[in-house]
Amino acid sequence: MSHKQISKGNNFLTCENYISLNDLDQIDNYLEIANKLNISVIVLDAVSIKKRKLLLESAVSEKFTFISPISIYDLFKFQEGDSEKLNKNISYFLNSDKELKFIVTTRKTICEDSVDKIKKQLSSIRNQYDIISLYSKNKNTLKWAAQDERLDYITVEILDNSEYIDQSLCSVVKQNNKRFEIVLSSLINAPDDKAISEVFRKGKKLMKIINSTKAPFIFTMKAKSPLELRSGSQMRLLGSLLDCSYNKTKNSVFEKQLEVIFNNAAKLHKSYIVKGIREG
Amino acid sequence: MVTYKRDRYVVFRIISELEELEEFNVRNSIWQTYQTLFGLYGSAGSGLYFEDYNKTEKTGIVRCSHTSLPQLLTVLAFISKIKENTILFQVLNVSGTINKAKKILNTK
Repeated sequence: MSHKQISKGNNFLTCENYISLNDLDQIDNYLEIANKLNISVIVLDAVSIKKRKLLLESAVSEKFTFISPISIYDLFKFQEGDSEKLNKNISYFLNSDKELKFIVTTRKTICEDSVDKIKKQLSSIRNQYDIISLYSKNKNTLKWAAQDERLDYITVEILDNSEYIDQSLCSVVKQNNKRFEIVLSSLINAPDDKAISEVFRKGKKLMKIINSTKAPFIFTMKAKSPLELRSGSQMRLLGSLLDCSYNKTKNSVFEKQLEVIFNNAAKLHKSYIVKGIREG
Repeated sequence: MVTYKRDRYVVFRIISELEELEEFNVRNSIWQTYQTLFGLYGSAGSGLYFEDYNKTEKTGIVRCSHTSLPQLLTVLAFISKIKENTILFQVLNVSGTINKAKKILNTK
């Protein structure tokens, strides 16, 4: 592990991909702790794009600067091709002032096992949220989800649905440029040693399968309270407990998430032309 | 001359709703979590030592050997509760000398 990266920790930005707000007034507390941990991208679960606007207007706007994904797209759309350069420029932009700027985006997690029901939901909610992910306990549904363009992530809770992930699913995910979203909250919330060892056992098995196929994945904490947030390097360190090398997870806490947010912002932008349609 | 065991000083702050946190509880929780994750053998070889702790500011310095720095940082990320109170360890910096670590602690 590179120790320099940890000691310089403050320069590295993080994306927390899954915040489930129980109380909408809590957002100020989340932002304050996120500011301390250098978490610059926050994804709110089950909050639509319309609702987000109202929520952020009511939040303490004097302390922090909020940026919507679409305005980020407007600023950087001419650099769309080179993702590495794009990520660097966005990070520099977010970190340029003393005060951290926040990108606040929205997501919806569909918890369904039936493909028909997911299709019905997707047709109505796809344009209301920036990111859509699927949590399912059905192998066939997961395989279908890995091929569907409207879904961004496949959510994996280590204790609940990690046994449904197999090598064939991983290779489909890799082929279709999807990502697994690995929820690490079960690691820090395990009540006793027995539960911790179960999380390690299942988590290591899962990471072994994912690493063998080199399928892309991201880490998230699924924070239910502000104190459950973790910085990027902390998430990578927790990932290293699941036999996932610290150096190999460099992109799993910020870059990959930012790429998805940027691409989806492009699709939701008014100037977007759907693939296959010729401009008149 | 290359020394095989070099020290690292981890400067940390505890984010919590409590106004004060006793040093004994913090120290105990770090030791216990270290032993849960890396065993007695691992914790014995880590060279853990609590240099400094301020219970009202909830900031402190922990010393460890340079080889066990990743383990200590993992332990700090892993701890989410002290005496049933939810807390969060924020690592402010990692330094190679105690003087620099104290300077960082005083400025932050």
